Amino acid sequence: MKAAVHRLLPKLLVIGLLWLTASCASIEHVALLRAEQERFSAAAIQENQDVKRFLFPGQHDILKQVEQWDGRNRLMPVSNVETLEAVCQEYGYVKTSLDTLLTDKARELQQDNLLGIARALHLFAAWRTAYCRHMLNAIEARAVSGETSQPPVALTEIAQRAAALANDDQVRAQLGPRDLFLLMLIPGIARYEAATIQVVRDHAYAQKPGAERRQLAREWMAQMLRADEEIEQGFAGASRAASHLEEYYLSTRRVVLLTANNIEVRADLVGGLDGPQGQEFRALMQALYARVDNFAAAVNNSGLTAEAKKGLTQRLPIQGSSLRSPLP
Amino acid sequence: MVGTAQLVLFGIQAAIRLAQAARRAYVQDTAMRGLVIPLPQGLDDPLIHAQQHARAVRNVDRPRYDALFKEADTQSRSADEQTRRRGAGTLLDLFLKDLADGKVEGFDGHSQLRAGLYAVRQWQEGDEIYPHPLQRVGGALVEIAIDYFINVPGALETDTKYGKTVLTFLQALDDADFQEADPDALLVDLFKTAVQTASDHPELFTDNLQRQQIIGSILTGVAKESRTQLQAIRSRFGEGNFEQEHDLLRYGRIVLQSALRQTSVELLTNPDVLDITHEGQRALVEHLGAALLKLVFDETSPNGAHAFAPALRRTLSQEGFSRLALAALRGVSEHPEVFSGLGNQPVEMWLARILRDLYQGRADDSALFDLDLLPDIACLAIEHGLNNLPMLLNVQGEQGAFTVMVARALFEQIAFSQDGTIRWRFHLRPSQAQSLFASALSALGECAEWLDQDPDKQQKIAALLALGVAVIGKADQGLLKQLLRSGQLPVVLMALLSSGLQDKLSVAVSDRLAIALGQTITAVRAQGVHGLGRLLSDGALADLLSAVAAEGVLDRLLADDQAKVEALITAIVELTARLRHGDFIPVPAMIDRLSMTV
Repeated sequence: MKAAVHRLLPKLLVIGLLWLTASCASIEHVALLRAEQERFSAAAIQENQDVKRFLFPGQHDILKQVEQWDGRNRLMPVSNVETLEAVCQEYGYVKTSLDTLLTDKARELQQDNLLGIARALHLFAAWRTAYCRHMLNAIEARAVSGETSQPPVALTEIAQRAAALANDDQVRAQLGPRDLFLLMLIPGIARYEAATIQVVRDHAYAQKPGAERRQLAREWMAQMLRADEEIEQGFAGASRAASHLEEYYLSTRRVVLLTANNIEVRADLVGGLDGPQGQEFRALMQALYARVDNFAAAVNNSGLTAEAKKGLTQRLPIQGSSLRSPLP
Repeated sequence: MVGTAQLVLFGIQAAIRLAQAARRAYVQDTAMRGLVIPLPQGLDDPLIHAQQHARAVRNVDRPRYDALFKEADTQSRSADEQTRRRGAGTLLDLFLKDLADGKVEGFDGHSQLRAGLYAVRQWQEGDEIYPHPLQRVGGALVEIAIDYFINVPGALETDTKYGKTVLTFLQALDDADFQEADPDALLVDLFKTAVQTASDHPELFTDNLQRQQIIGSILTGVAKESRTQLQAIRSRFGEGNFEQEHDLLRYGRIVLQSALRQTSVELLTNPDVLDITHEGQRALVEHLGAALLKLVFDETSPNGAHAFAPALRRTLSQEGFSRLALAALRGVSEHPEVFSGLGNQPVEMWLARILRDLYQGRADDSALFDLDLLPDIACLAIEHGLNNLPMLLNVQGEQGAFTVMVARALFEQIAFSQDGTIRWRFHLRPSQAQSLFASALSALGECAEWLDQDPDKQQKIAALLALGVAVIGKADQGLLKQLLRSGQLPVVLMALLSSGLQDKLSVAVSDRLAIALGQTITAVRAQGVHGLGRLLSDGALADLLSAVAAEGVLDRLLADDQAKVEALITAIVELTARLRHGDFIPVPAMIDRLSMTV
């Protein structure tokens, strides 16, 4: 039968073609969109694998991490350069393909109520591409024109575009709740990521005097705490989310607060409270603890299991934890 | 649940025709389907964990901090690199020690959270958070079916064999009872493999209900086992262990392909064999699908996969594993009465034991079986064993399979390990070694009716066959290869089995018997080759060996007096010469002649 099908293949293809054109509109744009959804997810899984190690270090081989420690005292993203390059390329493909799809098939997508889905995915891909590219530049100290000590412009733009897309009535009508949810969160996440890029970009941090290190840490932490507030606001603005979206939201905040806490521990702001900028640092420590407590309350009020709640607040200086320093 | 399967099939049918309703369903699925959302990357450094721990110690136990941590903590923040590295090293050591003692806060986390690791669907109030798996992956299934059936217009009408078979696949996956948390990829992959295999082997498309049941049962079995294994992976390594999960997908795919492909072969060549008429038989075939997967991938046992799993994995894409699947399928479908009384996991226990006994042997110091030949020889052991159940496979007993005992004894005689590689004695090539196993098992199968069920006696029979082969090989490699080429080795081995020599075999006897038989073969060959074929073709060799095994002859052949042994061998050669000429000599006359000599 297979041989018979092969013999008939040309005829069948012609019949199929006629049949496709005669029946109804093409589904090519839908198939293309689906392919890019899959490519995006595959890259995201790769990234998230590494982030999970960051979220729950106790479950992973910390001994191995210590053995492989390079002694440079640099805070680095949890994904290594190879992974970041790989996912950057994949997100780039998604963005490029959707550029073409949105240019050539916008009408078809609109007719199928998929324009919002496609535009959101395009923005997500642009967001990840911008982050990975800037982070790679930061890790490898590649000087890119326009990149200074300021936050990367591309991420700032992404944040603005996300907010605009979420508020575009025409697109919003075609957006799914998950996509709208993520669009609302992106401005806060992008702010956080911009701050992480600044941290990584500072290769000479460990060699700087303590006072300068604390001052830098203060600036970065302030950005991150503001990002955490924005993420919280974005979540409150989204429609009430299912538990799996709530998990994403809380995990995102945990990443932000753990990183802010890591920066503080490395700079030891507590050790600088008696110095000339002691008041400034005390205010920032209080702000960090306030955000952590706010986060702990959000975790407690969530619909997650008790064990999941416990995991989310670990390694953070929540009220009553030994990790929390008493502030004079 | 069946409703969901049918709905997806309707979706496929309609999509093939690109009718508006299904098109809408496809588009809708695209809008609703899951997307993995990337979590932001955290910034980390192992030293931070140590510094944070030092902070915690400082907060709660200042004297300890001052005594142990303070200096290293301060140094670890120094702008001078050497000082910083020295302090960091000490601090990390302190941290690791406290970690080992369970004194570090925040390191007993868990991975219950799914966020960011699994695809998140569009969701709104009133939706099921985790819809039924088939519904969840409906769009992907439509897509796969479009890929495969786009060139066969009308193929998926419900009343065609294509439509019925695809519905069988969907219902089989539904029967596997996937849960909300099971990843879509597993379902989609299994469906895709099933459709692709059927597309390559169109005989799998059938409107025969019984055949559909078999195909469906195999798919359900592999799908259920995949689910079980996935749960085991997650409970053992935590969620999101993609390397393990990827392996599971890969092996599930190959096993399903092999099982379905062999089913199609069996259905074509022997349509009467697979008559699954009741639930028990259907369950057995389902077990078979699961058992085959578990042979190559097992995370459910505390020790991980079977020891022989790497050997099977190596040959998964080759014919060996497919033949094994076919042999198992035949066993189960031809003899459901044997397997159905064996408890919950009859096929798995049976197959795993055959492979384990063959691979590892029964003694602690046994050499491991040749990896390349393992599936083929296991397959031969099953195929020949099926000719006389239950005796040759000992399916229900505690002892190992008789055919496996023979294969294993033969392996230990004709193989040796050199630098971790299996080498074959007598300059045999692997294909000749394989043919040798086939000869021995064939001889065993032919004589099965007369042989004993006693495990000790079966061991002796296995040892005798192995000894026979070794004696021929040592005496004359050329003769052994010629017997293999001409297909006459089984006849020689059958003659050996019918002689009754096995009843007289012991550790002490074996070596002497081997020497005496070797000398006899050499003496017989010294007379030339003319007429040797006649010895084999009319049963004369069997009679001669029976005479040699007779009381009063054998014990003298094994005696210490070399002159008498040589006289006896001369007499055997004389008898052989007469038999070569076509003389008929009754066994008692042969015994008399040999006894007289002595």
